[in-house]
Amino acid sequence: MATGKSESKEQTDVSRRRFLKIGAGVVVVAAAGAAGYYYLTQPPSGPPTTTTEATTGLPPTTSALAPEKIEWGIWSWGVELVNDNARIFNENNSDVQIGVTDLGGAYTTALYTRYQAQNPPDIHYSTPDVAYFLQYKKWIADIEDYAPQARKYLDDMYPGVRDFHINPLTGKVHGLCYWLGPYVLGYNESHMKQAGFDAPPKTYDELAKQALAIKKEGIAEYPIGALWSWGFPAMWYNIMIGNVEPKPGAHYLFDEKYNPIFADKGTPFYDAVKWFFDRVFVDKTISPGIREYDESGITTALGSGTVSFALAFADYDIAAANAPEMKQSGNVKMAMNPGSGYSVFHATTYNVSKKCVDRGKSAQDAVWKVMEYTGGKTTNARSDYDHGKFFVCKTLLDKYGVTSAYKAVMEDPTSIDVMEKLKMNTDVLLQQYQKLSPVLWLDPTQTPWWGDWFSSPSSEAGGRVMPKFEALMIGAAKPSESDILAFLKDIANDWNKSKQEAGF
Amino acid sequence: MCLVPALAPLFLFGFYPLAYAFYLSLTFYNLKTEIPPHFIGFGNYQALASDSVFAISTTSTLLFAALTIPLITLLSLGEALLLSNDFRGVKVLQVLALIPWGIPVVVSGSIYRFIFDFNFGLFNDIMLKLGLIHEYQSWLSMQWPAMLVVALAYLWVQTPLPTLLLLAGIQSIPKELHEAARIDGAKPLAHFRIVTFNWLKPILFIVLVYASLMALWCFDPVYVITVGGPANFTKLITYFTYEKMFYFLNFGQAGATTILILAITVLLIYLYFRALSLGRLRLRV
Repeated sequence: MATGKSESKEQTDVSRRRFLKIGAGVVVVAAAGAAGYYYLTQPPSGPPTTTTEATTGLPPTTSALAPEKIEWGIWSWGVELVNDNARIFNENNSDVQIGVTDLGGAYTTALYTRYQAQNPPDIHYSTPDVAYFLQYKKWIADIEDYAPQARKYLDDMYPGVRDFHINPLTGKVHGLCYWLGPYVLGYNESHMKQAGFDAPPKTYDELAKQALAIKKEGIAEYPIGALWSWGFPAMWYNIMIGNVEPKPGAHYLFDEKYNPIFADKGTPFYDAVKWFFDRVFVDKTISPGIREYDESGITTALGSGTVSFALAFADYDIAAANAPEMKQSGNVKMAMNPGSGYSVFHATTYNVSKKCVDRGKSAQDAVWKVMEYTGGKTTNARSDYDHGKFFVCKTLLDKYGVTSAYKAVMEDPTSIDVMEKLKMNTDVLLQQYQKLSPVLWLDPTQTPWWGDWFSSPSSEAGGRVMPKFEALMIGAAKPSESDILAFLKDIANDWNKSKQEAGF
Repeated sequence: MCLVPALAPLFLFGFYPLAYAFYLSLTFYNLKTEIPPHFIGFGNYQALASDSVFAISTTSTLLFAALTIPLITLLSLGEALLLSNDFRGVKVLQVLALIPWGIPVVVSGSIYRFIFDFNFGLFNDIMLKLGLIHEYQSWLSMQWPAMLVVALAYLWVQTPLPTLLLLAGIQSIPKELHEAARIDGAKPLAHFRIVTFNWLKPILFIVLVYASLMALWCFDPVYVITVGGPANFTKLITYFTYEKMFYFLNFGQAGATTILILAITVLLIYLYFRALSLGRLRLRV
């Protein structure tokens, strides 16, 4: 009996061993298959098999030397398009080859980790806070130092956005534009007309009046929405510059020495906060639930008719709110920021790491070629400022409706056609482009702790101001004037503390 | 010598990061300043002690733990008692009870975020139809409701394992004890108290310690649902640490918070092993 039992146990042992062997074999085969697939799907790194005849008489670039490899760091958006653009570049430039690295959803964390580890990508996207921080740390280079012709691109941009592309610490152009999105006032035309209005509000007081009328008619419970989280600072600046026109040299939150100038009654920020709380507690046209509106939230709210007004982006938000499947498709229109008509914008740039340019002239030339391809003018993927086109910028707009800083891209008739098909009011949008202010990013400039204090323009994480504001917003009673002043003084002290800690 | 291959990864991926975190906690290391990293002793701990957001985080974590630990224990005990009975469909129920365990907490958080969405959430729809509210409410903009939603998303996924442990414990109670209680005429509550509860005490202790550890380490639902709001009310200590490290790039203070969490974790793990050894003693009896 015992023998039978040990025989059966041995059979079990053998079976388990056999199972593990088979399992290990499957894992090895799967790993080998995955590795093979990965290498087979990589873009070719050798010389192109086809060359395209240059229409401007520029000779095709060929080189007997190994190509300069440029790593392009991206976030996880439009990855297929990016890879396709990289392929086109690589096919037309045998001396420079782009390798794309997707740094993932936690882009800023991954990017800073790479920089801290002294292994940054050669060229990458930057939101304004990222660009400033990397400039402050001297981790990125101003492209103008290596390609003085970069400065010419400022003339191709709308006037209000030129200063944004200049490093405030050096005065040099730091990178070319990847995306530029003005904030516009999205409004529901149907709601507005039902409430008895013919035109969108021209001032913030009119906006309050229209919202209240819409609420009283029972059309929308809380007609005013906004992009919270990373749109939080922009909302405040838009209200402030709507009420007080941004003249050259005007400051709203900080003076030239970065001292807070808002913690007083009658300042633009005080008035903006008071206006906001009147909507929350008196008119009840803004819900405390506004804090739930991330970008998809506000888009859906506009598109479903839950809100009637929202400061939002023309391309990502207004266009998405007008998507065919949205209940309010075709009803969501754009107007200029109420009041002065000036608006702020959000933007991303291409930036070059110092590590890349320190490799020498070959790397500097190569990375400029890549930057000019992605953010400038080319012909057949080769630098051509005089006769080329904004190939990548135009492709982004054509495929996804992504707006740009460049007049040639935005005012191209085919671009207008694309944007109109996405139900973006291009006449209003182009008017707004003429009245853009960089004050959101240049008041007087960003600082290393700006995003920590206010709110990050590159993630959902809020700064320290937002929770303090929320504490007032979700309170049972309307904050009094002294409550508002106390809040402003508190955040001013917080700013000063950060300034001191940073050694500014 | 033959232990080196096994110990090397442990030291490399276990002890070295801990030691580095401890070193960071004694260092001023803030990437967002020009001040170079330098030793400051317990300066980071002092800075945390005077940080109002840290105080809020600590309070929030204690509240969260006070809320979830009893709930996990009671819910899992209740489920285990139910599932220990023999009735038609109990096997199916046992499987269904374990399914949430297979759902990542971040997915659970996303689901609950949608359920409690201000404009489109199912919860608002049901409450409105039942006449319990007269308009949609922004639950995630209210402090306690937001905390409860985070707790719900967390509880849904964390309850199955303690249920399983307690169920195993209940099923291991010798039948003779039940019979003796029945013969002695014990009423159901007394039966439960004297036989079942006494037998389950070591396992309950394990469940309590486990629930405490999980509450301390909870991060995903906060990240997905509330991002620490409203007004920092749901900013648990893990999310606070994450923000310090990856958002504020203040490695020194993040290190200090990590060490504080580690200290509490070590204490809880010690209690866990005590409970385990008590459990083993009970099984031998």
